Amino acid sequence: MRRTLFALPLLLLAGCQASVADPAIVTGPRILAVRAEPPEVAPGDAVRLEALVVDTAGATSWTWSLCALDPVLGSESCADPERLTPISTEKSPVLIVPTNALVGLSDEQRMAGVPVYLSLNVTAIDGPALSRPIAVKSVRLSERPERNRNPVISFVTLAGSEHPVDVLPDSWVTIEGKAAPGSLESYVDAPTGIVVKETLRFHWFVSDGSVGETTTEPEPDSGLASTIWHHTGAEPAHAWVVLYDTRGGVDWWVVQ
Amino acid sequence: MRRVRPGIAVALAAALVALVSTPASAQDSGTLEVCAVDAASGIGIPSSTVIFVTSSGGAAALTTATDGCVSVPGMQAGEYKVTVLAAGTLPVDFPLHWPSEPSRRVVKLKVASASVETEMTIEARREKPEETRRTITPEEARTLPGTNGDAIKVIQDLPGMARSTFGSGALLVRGAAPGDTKVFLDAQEIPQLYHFGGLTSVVNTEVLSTIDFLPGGFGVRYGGATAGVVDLTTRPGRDDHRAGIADANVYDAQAVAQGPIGHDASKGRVIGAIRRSYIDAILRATVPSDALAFSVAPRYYDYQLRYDAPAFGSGGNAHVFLYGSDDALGFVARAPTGTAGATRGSFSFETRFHRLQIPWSQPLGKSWQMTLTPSLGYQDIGVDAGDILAIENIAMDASVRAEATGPLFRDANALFGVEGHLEEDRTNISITGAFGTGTPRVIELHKTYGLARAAIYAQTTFVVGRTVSLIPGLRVDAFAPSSGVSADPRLAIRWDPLEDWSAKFYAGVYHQPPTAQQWDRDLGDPELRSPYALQTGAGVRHRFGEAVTIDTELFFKWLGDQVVQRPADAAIGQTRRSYTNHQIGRAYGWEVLVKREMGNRFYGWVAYTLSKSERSDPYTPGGWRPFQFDQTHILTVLAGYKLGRGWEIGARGRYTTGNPTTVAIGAVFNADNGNYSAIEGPINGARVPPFQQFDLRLDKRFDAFGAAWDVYLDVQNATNRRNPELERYDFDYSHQVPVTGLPTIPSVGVRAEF
Repeated sequence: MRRTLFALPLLLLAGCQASVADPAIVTGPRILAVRAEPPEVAPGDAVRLEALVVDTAGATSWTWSLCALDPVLGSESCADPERLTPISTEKSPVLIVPTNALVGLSDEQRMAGVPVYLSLNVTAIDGPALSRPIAVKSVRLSERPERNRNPVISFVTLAGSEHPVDVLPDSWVTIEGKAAPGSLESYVDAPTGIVVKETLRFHWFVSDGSVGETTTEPEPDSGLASTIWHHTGAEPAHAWVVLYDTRGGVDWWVVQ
Repeated sequence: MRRVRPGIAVALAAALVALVSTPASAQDSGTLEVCAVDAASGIGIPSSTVIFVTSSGGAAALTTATDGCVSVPGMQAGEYKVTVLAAGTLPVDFPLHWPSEPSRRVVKLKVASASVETEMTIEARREKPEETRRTITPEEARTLPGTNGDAIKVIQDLPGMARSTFGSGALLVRGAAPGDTKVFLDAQEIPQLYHFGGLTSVVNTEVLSTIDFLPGGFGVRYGGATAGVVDLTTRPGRDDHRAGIADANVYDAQAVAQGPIGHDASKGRVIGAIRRSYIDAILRATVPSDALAFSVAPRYYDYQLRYDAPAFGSGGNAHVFLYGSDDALGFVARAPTGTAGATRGSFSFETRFHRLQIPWSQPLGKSWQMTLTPSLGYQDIGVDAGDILAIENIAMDASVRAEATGPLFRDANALFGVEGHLEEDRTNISITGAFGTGTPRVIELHKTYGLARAAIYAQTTFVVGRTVSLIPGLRVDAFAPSSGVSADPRLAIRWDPLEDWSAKFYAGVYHQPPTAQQWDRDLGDPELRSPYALQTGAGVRHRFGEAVTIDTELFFKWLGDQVVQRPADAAIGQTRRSYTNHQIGRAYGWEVLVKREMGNRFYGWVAYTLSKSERSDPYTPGGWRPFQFDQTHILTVLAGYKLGRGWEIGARGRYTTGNPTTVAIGAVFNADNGNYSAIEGPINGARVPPFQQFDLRLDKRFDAFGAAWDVYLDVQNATNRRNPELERYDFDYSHQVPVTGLPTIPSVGVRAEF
């Protein structure tokens, strides 16, 4: 391990070199977020799936599937059609978890829970194809009493306003979001028994220009986070704000 | 180097030999070469007289050739006094101890013309015929281009050594991983060879006498390595007068002081060196401040202090050697990088070590020599990354090595040795969160390992019919807490059919214990076996005249029981990967080194390696695949020329095949964390573009203010080629983003010897 550690400074500095694309700029159809409500469910519960998809031109069709994830390859194994079982083509299907989903597991395993992986494939019907059309989302099945909940965005303001605003081309505006109280949860990590506090992170997306920080962690006390948007185009522009917690909980907000 | 009057030299040497030791133990112990060199020009002084006086009072005189050197073959163990009379200087004399083991020594006397100031460098080149040993002396390496005066960096230019990414100094020997090669300093393993970034080594060139690189087939003296060995030897301080060196360049400044204590070194002698970097200022100037904010200025320093006690008892010698190193770097990554897997936040890296060694050598009777080397060490590594990961590793160790060498009987020398090593290794790991596209994890680990190693080894050199040497050896290692024992038989054969030709063959077993973490009951598997390598090779060496040699070798390695991570098996309740011995590997290739020794004007070498290194394990589909450090072609051309009047110019050109890499052929959006996960193509199925670099160096030496000065310009990457070192990707893996190496870095330095 020591020799691996010696290489870290170089690798960290290497990561500072410039890249060619900004993940915050949405220039084509793209999946920005997928939400399961709730993100952690008990057997017999219902869970609603929905996605934030930017389809800038043309219609799209959606296919939700169950994925038999390869634990070695990870989520990318859900790109393999042979691992998928289609379950719905609705945009926001509701699934009922079988009551016997955790039968056969030990008490400890039922409390820790198991992930179920879902795949969303978004296909363009008459517009440009998505360069990355597949999203993978996990929903945890467990019987623990304090299950994870999605974080909630209380509001998002653009230049201080919660409503659509006129922003002149080539101008700088502040986008600010607030995580609702209660979004930041604590939980017991099952393998270690350690009480862990989640962290939250806002992801900022805009349709043109650039942003200062592409992701921002909110202030612990106020739940507020912000970034700067350099709006460059003359066309109507959009901003999308997605809030993640560290256990896969998601909320989003769209600003015009 | 050419010898003048070879007949006279050989006759005098034979007479000298006859005066030294008893006929029963009379044995050829190698070749001595004495050179008288003008300090200002670096040019040898011909027709100088070299007088040898043995401890029994016998004497012989030789005359140096046109290159200022004279060779004395057939040296025998014993004590000598050597006096050199060079034109325009006062006589210089020095004591010389010649060991019983076969060796080759070059004694270079740097003589300041028409003055009493004399610099003397004694360089020992041990010839271990059983080994592929590529030796570099600090004297010849110091001014090579691309090294910035750091002689140890020259091993990167020798056959068998692949180039490391970013020139980090990782030792990639014959298609092996960096951890498979060990570094020894005065017979004890040291924790690191280079400061972070590979800019410079942790041991000052001025305190070294030799730098040996053994890419394979090494003898039983070295254990715990399945690939190669770097063996550094320090030198004592001067015993004739006090001297110092000051050196400053773009990266760091260093000072060296040495000399006798008391009259005629009656209280011993000492050499000390210290170096401190100012790379922090360079990084501040070259890295955009809006991307990085340094919280701890990146810097390194190192020190070495060696005290040699006067000889005691019946020829006993001992010295105390204290040395250490300290690196630190800390910064805050503020701006988004936009690349896949990027992690932001605060980063820091600190590592330091301190070691104390007290070697003691003592003659045992007339022909045997015993060496005892105890050492103590402390090492501390701390890493914080992205407010997610914190690792601290503290290791303390005590080691000892004891060796005895001497003749068993006529035409048979023996080496016996034992090693012991005790270590306490404390590791704290804290992970709270997700790295890049990874899954959020919570890990709190606090581990303390007690590790112990012991080894016993023996080796005998049989000389058969004057031209053939057989060197069988056996090394047995035991490791705790695994209670594993490994036995490594090794055999080497050397054949010297003609004076200028030699051939060798070797085969051996080399075991290397798993790391403490791999053996850990929670993280790894205590039942892991030690990975091993079966090494074999054959080579030929030919000397053209006195200055040019060609050394070529074929090698093959079979790697068994290699440690590899096995995926977690959810069916049996496993939640994390574990380690197994299920990986195998093979590496084979051809190496050639054509070298022109440093002479009057021109020197240099061409080093080329053609190799292939592959691995296979049941957890990676596709069978044999290129190893991650496999480089098919490794070519280094290095040359220097002394222009006269103190001017010297040097150049180095390098070409290496790019490292294998695994390309992303697609990606899926990971909706749990908002990042993308790559869909990978065949493991190591592609390569980073080849690396090409051209370095230059210009030196001007002159005498002024009572000191010998060297002003130099060392330009790395003189053509400013943007060599891709890694391939990274856009945030969604749709575009590749090359991460390039360093641009042109001109380094101006000044060195003064006084």
